[in-house]
Amino acid sequence: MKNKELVRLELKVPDITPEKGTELQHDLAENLAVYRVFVNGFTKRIKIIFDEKKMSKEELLGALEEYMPEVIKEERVTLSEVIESSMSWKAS
Amino acid sequence: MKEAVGEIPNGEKEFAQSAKHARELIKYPELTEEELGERLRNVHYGYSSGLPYKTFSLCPESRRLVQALVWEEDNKIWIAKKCPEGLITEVYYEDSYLFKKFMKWAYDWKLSSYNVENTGINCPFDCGLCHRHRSHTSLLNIVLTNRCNLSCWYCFPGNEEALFRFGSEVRLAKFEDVAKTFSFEHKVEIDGFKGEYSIPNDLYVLTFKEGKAEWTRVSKFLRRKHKGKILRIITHTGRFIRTTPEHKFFVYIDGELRKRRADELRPGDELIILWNFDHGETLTHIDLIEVFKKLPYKEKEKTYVRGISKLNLLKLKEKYGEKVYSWRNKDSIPLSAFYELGGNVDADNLRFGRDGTAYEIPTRLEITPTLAKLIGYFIADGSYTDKDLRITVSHKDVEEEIVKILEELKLPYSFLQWNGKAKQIVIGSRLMRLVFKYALGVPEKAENERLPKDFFNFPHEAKLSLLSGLFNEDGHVVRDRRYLNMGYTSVSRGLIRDMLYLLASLGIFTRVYAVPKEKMKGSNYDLYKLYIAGTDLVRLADLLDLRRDRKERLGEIGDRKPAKITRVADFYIDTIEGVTEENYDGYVYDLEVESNGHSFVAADGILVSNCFFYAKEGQPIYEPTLDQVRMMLRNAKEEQTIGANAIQFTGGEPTLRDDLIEILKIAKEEGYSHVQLNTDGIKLAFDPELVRKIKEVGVNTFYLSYDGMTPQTNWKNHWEIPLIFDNVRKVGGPGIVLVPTTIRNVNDHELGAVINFGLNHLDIVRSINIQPISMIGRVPKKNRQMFRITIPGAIKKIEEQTNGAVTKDDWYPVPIAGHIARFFEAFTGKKYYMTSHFACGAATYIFLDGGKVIPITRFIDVDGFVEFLAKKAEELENWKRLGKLSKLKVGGEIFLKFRSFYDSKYAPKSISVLKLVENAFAKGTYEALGQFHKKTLFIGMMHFQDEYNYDVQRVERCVIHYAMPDGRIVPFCAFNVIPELYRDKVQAQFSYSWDEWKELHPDWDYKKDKYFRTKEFVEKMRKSELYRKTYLELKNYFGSS
Repeated sequence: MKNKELVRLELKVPDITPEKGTELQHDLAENLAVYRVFVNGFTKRIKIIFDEKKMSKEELLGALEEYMPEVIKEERVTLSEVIESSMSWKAS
Repeated sequence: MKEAVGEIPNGEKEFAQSAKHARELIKYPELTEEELGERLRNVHYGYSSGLPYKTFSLCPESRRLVQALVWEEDNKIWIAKKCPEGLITEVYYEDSYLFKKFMKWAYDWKLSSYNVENTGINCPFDCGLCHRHRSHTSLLNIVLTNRCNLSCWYCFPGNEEALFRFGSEVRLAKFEDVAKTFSFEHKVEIDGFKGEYSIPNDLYVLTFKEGKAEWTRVSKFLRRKHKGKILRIITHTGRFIRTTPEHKFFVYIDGELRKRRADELRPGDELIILWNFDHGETLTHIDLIEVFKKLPYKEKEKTYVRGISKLNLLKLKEKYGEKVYSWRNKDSIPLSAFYELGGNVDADNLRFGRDGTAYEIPTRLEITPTLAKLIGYFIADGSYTDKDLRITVSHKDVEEEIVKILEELKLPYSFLQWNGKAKQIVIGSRLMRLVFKYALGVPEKAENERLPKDFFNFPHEAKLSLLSGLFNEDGHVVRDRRYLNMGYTSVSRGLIRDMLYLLASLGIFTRVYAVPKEKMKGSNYDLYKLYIAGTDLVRLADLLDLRRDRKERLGEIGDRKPAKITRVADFYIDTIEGVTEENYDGYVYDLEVESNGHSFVAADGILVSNCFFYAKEGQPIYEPTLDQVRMMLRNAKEEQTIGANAIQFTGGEPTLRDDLIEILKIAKEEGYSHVQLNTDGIKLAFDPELVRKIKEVGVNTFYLSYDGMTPQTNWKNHWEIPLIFDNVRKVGGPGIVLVPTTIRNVNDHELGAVINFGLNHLDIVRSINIQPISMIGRVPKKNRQMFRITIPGAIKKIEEQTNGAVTKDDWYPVPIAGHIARFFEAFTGKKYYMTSHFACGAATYIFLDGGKVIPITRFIDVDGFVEFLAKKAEELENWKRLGKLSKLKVGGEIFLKFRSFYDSKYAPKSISVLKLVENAFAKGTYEALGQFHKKTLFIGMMHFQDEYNYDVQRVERCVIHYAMPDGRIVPFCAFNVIPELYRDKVQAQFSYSWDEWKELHPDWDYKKDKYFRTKEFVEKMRKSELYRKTYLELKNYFGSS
């Protein structure tokens, strides 16, 4: 479980608004494939960590189509790395 | 008194009884959308500049975040918001005086460590703790399991029916037939019943939504084996349903819908029945190529597809050889071979034919009113032979009309009449026979008659024609001086059910009478009579194309009265005539639906409860590992600048974990001073050894559910409490916090009694922590008016019920502790911050002095003292570093000064409060605070939010957090109120499937988790000395003033 491999994407979404960003935050966060997500409707950026076996990158981009998504960074992370990065002594 | 004895407790019966008589309803203010919009434009965000102000709130159904107005009206504080689902107003605080008093003590703070990189701009959709959060974790919660002691499920026999929508197609279907489409891949054990279920993709049923009949998705289709009794419930208007005795129905009592088990239903009880609903009319054609795939092979061989010249038959050559050329030449291929061509075939020019006849029908059968009327005539008085269809004609008008239809449809026909028998019209088409039998699904034999299986989806005009055919052939008109009605009689109850629904889909109410076969000489079947009268008859006569003599018999209908039924929008209220029993052996079925009303329409349109309450049993099991628990504890402990120091383990029911003691040890190892177990106490009652182990490992308190003083208000553990108390007394701990979840009109009348109960058991009860109800899920306004209670509402009840011993001026909000803690931090150099939003909680201490109850405010000037401490804290902070001696000096000064805020005249005489305070100030430790608590009763309140009163500003200041195994820590009111993002979602991500769980725990038996409260146990407790001492020999500390 801890070694589950996840994908971390950073995207530009030029056509999003702050209001839509909040709605999108809820809708993406609800997905069982998603482990972390942060939609910033002001800076028009999305950071998302998800399980590609449950939701493909294409599906994700398809869901974001109306906001004209552009992937600006992509990397592989494990679930244990995601958990570790959230420890109180790591983040400040 | 209703209570759960002889079953696994679940509280529904008790709740229904408790909520029977609403003593109070909250009156909500009227606010228009325009007024709300205008006010929102003119107020500031946040409470810092006072009322009114705006905040952000959550929409219950659309889950959108919208601006909300918080304002004062009628001495109460309200919150209102405009959601996509409508304008929602909710009471926020029932006393504006207390709201303002508490607001004064607001105390904000900032974290400096975070577990997400989010900024909080989407708060509360982007938790864990982020830069926007303003409180640290005062109490950390960790869910140890989602297993619990509640369970039950109910069922319908396999041949009972419900109105289903499969995608867009509406059909009455038997549970057992729908079940054939599922593999029941998920196993479930509930109440010791082994069962299984599937999760349908696109299946819907009708539900009751504020009176309207609306479609809701079926989230689970369940079945289990049942051998034994089932009940047949029959209503006054002739509806019936068959069910297992446990299944719950909605009974209309005092203007409310209450749930009642089938075996508790009695004649005269009022059920809710469907009489009107929106329906699909999507079926204009039937694709015969598709439906004929189900024909018997012999029929496929004898049925031909014609017009095949453009089809490539070469792929059949290998199997059929030269026949292929013959088919090509004749432009006709057997249906059996045609299907072997596979792929998509352009059916536009294709036709069906039969051996030896030139008669053909198109491959796409159009559902026209003419065809529908013929179907009606056939169902009413038709029959199948091996080769044709026959309709017995009862009247010349009917004969003429059927002939006209057959000629219009270009169907071959002839007449047949035996001596002394009625005339028959023979429709000499084997193809139409196949269409009626297989495409339309019209059954054989009178007792099995049904409407075509897809009749709901017929175009509107076709439905009317179908009914016209039925009533023209087999209907009747009853007319006398007083009565006028039109009826239909059949030996098929299934046909009557279809007609009930079809008429309901047209908004026509119908009654049914049953005539038992015993009352009809020579009859083999019961007879069912359906009839329509009053304004419903006016409407029906207007809709149908009736034959001449029917019209003549009806004559001038004139003004009629509506049916004498109580209508509730799309439903009406019907009384039960009788309940009979029959034996059953086979599968029984149930549904879980998505609708928050947790109901669906079954059988003749009767509204029943679904298995929502317990359906999560059998789903994946969430139980974090010991490593995960340690990680979560450490994560919160290491928060900066102050780590969590108090942990509550919760569930489900956390005592169900076998490794509980190990987990508790880990909490101590990780440095938590306060360890608390949130439990219903059932296991503690029957396992004294477990209590001893929990005490030994250092658990400080049991956070024990305790909702009231009677078995009805406290259905969870009333009978077990004496044993729990006894076991705790025997080993000297842990201390008990009694937790009444308080609901207006249900148990709010017992708050004073619960406090009195705590005072009577002060040797083990440390605190009463009242939790006003949080209404999670969709709750109609009427229920919120009835059940909502807020902190000031509970405080008012306590003042009334303690005869003024504890008044509203005795209470302070949680953040006042922040001001005290600030002093302690400056004084000791340790971190003690404790704060929250001022509206989240309230608390007071009461002392027992002999027989007298004295709240702390009666002898300590709390306001003055805290203001003094705040001033001292400021001074100390300016002095930066103090030596030990200097600190002692300041401590002494504070203690001396404290005396000026202390009035010994009113202070308890039997306890040295001054010494307790001195000790607390001198030591400033958790243990010193604990000693203080042992001499007093702490009464606290914490009002967790729900979607209706949700205020994002409160979430930002939340101090009660949940640690999740994904590394995040989130506020209570995000975790529980938005479960789709936090609780349910993350537990699903980190849970075991049912099969995985059973593989890991081969000896585990689901039944062992369940608590079955026997009648014998209750009787034994009722007569016991322990019970008497616990409940009956109580001193009344709040005697009438």
